[in-house]
Amino acid sequence: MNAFLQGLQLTTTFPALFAIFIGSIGGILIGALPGLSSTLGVALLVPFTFGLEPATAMGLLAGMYCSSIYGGSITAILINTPGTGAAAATVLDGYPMTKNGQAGKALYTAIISSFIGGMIGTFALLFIAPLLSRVALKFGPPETFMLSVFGLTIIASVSSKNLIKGIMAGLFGLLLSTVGFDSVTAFPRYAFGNIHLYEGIALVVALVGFFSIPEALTLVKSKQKKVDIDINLNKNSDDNRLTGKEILHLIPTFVRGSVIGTLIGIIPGVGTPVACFLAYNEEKRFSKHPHLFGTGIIEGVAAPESANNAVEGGSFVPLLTLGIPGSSQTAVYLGALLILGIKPGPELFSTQAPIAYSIILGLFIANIMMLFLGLGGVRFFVKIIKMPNAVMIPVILTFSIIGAYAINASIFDVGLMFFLGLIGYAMRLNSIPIAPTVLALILGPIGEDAFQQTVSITHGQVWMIFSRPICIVLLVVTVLSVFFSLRKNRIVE
Amino acid sequence: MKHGKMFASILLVLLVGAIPLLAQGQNELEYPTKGIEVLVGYSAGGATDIAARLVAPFMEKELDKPVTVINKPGAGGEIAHSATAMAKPDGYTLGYIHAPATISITLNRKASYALQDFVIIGNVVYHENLIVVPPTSRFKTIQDVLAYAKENPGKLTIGNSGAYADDHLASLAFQNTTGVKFEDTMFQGTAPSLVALLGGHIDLVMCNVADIVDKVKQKQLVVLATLGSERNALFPDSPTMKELGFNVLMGNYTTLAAPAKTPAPIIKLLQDTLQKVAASEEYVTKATEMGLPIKYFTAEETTEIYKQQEQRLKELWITLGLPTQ
Repeated sequence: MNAFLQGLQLTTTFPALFAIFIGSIGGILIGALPGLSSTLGVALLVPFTFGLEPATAMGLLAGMYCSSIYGGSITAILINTPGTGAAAATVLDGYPMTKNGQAGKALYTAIISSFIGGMIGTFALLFIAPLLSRVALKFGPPETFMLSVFGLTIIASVSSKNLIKGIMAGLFGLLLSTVGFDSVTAFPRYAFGNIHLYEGIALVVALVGFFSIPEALTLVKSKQKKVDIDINLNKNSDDNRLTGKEILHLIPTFVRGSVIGTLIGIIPGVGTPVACFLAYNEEKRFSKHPHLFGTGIIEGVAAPESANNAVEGGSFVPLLTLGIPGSSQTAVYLGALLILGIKPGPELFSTQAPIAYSIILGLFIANIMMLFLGLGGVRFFVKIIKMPNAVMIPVILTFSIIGAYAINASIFDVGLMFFLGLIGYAMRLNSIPIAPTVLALILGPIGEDAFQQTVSITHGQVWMIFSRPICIVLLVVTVLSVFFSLRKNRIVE
Repeated sequence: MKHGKMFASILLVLLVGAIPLLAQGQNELEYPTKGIEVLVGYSAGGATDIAARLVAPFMEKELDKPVTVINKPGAGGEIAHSATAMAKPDGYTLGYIHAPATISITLNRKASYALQDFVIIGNVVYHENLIVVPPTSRFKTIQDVLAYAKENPGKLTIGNSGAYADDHLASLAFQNTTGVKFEDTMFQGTAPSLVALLGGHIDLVMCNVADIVDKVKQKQLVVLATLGSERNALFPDSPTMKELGFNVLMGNYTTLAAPAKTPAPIIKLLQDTLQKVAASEEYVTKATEMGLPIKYFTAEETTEIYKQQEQRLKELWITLGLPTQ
């Protein structure tokens, strides 16, 4: 308790709070801009932490981490372009809401969901971290493989109405995910001799390629001066806010999404994009009106947004208790922690307890800061839609190019982004959904690596994994998921 | 007469113009006159990057010109190696290479550079490979592991940080020398392999000193054996394979290098500078604080090390029939 209070003292100093504020503003900006990922944002701030007090440094990074995951939803909702991988599922219902004139409502849903998700994830970190880290360790390669298989069945629910096209898109994504070094033989697959493809297609490049470029091209093709959406700027209209009744109605959604996010967060190597799709899928499954998903309903925004912020808190569990990062952002965090002389691991809470608590408290405060900035910003963000296309298109393209380049300091990636963009545009013109491709591109490497490790661990007798309880559960869930979505599609179609 | 005057003026001009040629005796090294770039083949925050960013400011102080670290990740380091090898050999582009990684890339596939494309300035980091288990493991000593593995070939799973990465190669060399057979399980980096180890999904992990120093201190892991030439001061109770009679020495070298054709005087200056930096107390203190396993070897020593490594890896490749694409 004493350590907790000391941690509180460390975090509530003016420099620390100011750092959280700066980090949060930067976070929303970087999160919103397509091409700039939250991992990049955290990495960019690390040099600024040199020479800062640990609590201040951690506050800066926490502000960036929390707010950038939320920030991605802004552009996902308003211009159909997720600012970060975490918002990839938010476009599914977020953009339709904007088209229905409910941009304000969507944005409010996003910020409130992000806040609640972040708080629940951080509470889990604070109170049950040791328990969660034991769960995390139980997730070996076989479990990760089964989780990826289950994740791929989500393709069905994000394929909007055409399951066949969705499966095509998903298989295409899986094909793309095989580009690069094979995990067992190190053979560079599908690289065509180009060393820039040896490590595969970076997610950021794929995201901007498949979302931003087609969006920009669509805007160009529309020849319109501004996006043809009716924005009701009346503050009191229901389209522009989230009523108390709706918030109460969303509570089960928040809880489901946050739990999923926290659990995915504790498993190292899985990450926010998977969590948000998983939460979207589960929301649809438990919903009384699953056919409305994709038309623009608040549950479709609330689920992924609460999940992706809950991943934050979850991802700190393996970082702080085992010294092993649970997400790409926390991997950068680890570097910063080591430079600051903070040694994460089982002894963190006994030898450096005040610092450990100050990290967690920093996350709490960052979430609150994000809430205020987000709520205050909605009225301002909504006006982005009114931006003339002549400004919007170059802005999208510029930041996409910067983001694609920044990942590997590689011009090749920029070219690759445009190439994928043309493919994405062609898909859009043919009503082939993009989300399954992105989902498969993310899950492919995770699942394949896990499968190779499973083959190695079971010495070729892969069926042995079904003596493991978590694998059995995941198998059952997967089979049921496939069964029900086939059934539903027969009924709806 | 006119021709005579013209002839005289031409001769005078030629004589005057020839004077600078006579001044060649003085060899003043005009280097560095601008900033130097050092290429690192991995992303910011990784082990090589941290080492590079530790060395750079110290070199800057000695050379009195900016020394900038540039990250050029991709193709497992090949992109940066290639860029370094093909850079203009004027001493303004340097890069970090590694043993065994830089060498194994050339053996594993058709690489866009060769080891001869580099001239070595000096070694910065060295840490040996070692085998770790959780304290709850049924194996308390490496002899237990060897005994079990002899009875059960191919049953023990040993994690590594990637196919043909330094720890995978260390595992292969270990198996080759001791005659036991493990099942090598590939992970993307050491961190996931340690998670799998701690969760009980694999039996052993081969990794490097820096990966697990803190974890051993916090009693999360135990080092069963190291593959160094002598016991590591950080793990006084962990034997080397060498002292147990198995001459397998594997470790990770991070070395500063330049394009091979860089002029000798410039290389000499850089080598001397690095030697000075490595000897400075401030540098050593800072590195120890950060837990960085620095180990300076001179250019001659390092070049010899790389030659030996290349030889040994070539032999390993042939003995084990490893893929060459």
